[in-house]
Amino acid sequence: MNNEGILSVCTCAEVRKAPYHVRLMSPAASAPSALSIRALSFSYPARERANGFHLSIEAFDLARASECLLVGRSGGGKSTFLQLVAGLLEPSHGSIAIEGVELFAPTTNRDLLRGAKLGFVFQTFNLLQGFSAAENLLVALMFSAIPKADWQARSASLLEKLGIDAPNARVEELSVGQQQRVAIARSLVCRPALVLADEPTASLDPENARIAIALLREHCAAEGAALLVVSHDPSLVPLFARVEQLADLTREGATR
Amino acid sequence: MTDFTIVLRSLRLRFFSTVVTALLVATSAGLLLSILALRSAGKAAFERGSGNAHLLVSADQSPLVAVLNGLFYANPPRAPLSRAKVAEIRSLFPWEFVVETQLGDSYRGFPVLATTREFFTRFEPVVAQPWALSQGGFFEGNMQIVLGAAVARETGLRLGAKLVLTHGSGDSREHGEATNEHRGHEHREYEFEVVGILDATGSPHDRALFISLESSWILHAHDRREREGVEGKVVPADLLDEDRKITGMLLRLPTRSGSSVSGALQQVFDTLRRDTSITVAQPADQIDKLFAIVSNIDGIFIALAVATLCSSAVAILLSMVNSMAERRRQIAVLRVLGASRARVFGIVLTEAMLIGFAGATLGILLSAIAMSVATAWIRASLGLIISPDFDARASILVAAGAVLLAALAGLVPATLAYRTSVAKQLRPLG
Repeated sequence: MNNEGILSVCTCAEVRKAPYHVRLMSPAASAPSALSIRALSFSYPARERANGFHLSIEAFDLARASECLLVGRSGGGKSTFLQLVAGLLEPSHGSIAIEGVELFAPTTNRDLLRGAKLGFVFQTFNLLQGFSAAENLLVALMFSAIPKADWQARSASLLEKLGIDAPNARVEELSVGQQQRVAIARSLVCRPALVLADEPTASLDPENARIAIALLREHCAAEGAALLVVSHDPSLVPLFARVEQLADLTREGATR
Repeated sequence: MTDFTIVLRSLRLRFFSTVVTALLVATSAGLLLSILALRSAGKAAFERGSGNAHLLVSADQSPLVAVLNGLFYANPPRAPLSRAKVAEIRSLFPWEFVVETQLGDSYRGFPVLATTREFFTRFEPVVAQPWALSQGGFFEGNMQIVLGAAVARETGLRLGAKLVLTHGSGDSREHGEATNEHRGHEHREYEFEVVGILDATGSPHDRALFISLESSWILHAHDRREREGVEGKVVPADLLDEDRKITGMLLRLPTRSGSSVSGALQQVFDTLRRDTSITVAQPADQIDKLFAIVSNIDGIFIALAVATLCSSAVAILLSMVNSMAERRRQIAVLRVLGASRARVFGIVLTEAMLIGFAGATLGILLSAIAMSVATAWIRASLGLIISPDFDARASILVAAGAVLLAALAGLVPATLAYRTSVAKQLRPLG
């Protein structure tokens, strides 16, 4: 395991012996990983998933400013994985830490952590309709740790870098490409430790998909944020140095 | 960017339903405020019309009827007071003034009050507001008539115009021609000349005409003499005691300078009340009693207005709940950006409260406009000056009530927002 983020499959016994803190699992104790997962186990309640879907990950690390493409078949649990990392679903067991902060610790305010440390890029962007491009960034900044005095400059600077020439236009008036850029800017505006991108190219043609991924990678690197892209698009595989198969991460549950 | 900006943007996104819902709140809040204002203003208008007389004496059946007939010209009094009784009452106390009146004739449906000069010089139609003339003067002798402001306006009569009076209430006050059934005979033998037109007082007196008592007695003496077969015009010397009918007395006790209240009023009132041959009324008290009677109806109107306000809150609830389907994704995005459940709950609740507040504010404005229109109409058609003062306390209470009801209505959509599953709304994430 190294601090560039390598999938590490530990035995259950090793995980249980380890103290409940990800830094002790990481060899690079001085710089906590942007994302560190240990002995993660999650099942949907039977009423939500009739097939008894079960996700289990022994260990996963992603260092700050690194990137990883997680691929897998549709319905394989990629989105579930991202929702767990975002703290939107609660695991049955195990831990997820964002920059060393345990996401599911009783003392952790998950909403604050999500606003301050995580950025999101969605397939359909999920920009706030009725708000301008700049306002979409400002809304994200409302929930961040960045001082209010810096909000305008920060959002204007990012929008400019991403080539948004009409920051005050309502997002629904922008082209799809521009909306994609606003979504990328929003994911980075709070200086997150980790950007989660769920099928960011699924609604784009190959050329725009290539541009979008290039922008995402470029700006995550520039902002020092780790990038975790989840996709079933095989054309993205050659673009990433680190590619993980979800199936390799998971232990097949008894029900599968 | 603040939570409030998010609230405003969200309302703007649902502009049509926001405006319609706010208008519903405005209508109901305005209705409630108007009813409250007109109720107190209506009472004030009636109190205004009762003038500066402390007591009113007549032979009516009850004090309230005496006031309605004697001061508001509802109907001619049922029977006259005897001359002896009038003299007795006059001598009973050191009155500040005693104004004798007689009602019974009319002109085109407007009542004619026969009275003395003191009616104009001592009696004030509105407390601290003596009579004023817009044209001419008060009557100086017989067969002269003074017009109330509304009568002059509606009949078009001018100074010097000649008119004859009708015995009885004559025709309808609103329509020129009477049916034979209700038409009294006209005193065609005696023409009255318009010698004065009064300024508007905002009281029922504006819809009356005024002549001297002796003029009225002459008209009725003529009728008596006709029945007796005596022809020719009546002169004052022909009047008998039975012709000199008085149907009412307006009385005022001496007061201290600057005060309108007499310390002896209750004692005098009690003394007069013991006399069962007359009815004595304190006009202000009777107005209070009248409004106590009609307050039940007021209560029904107010209850209806409150019910309308509640139904507008239900409209807020329905509008917001209906919009939740399309808003859940927005709420999920806010949550994923870091908004807590409580914060999302607060944003949705604030939206509801803002609709309530905007509606209530608009309702206060609508109420002010409606009251000014109603005031003008009532003044033009009834001659009553209704002055619905802006009641800041009632407005604040109604606005606070509207906001509170809106907040209660907003609890349901806010709870739905609170319980929105981000994972479900964003599944698949994107």
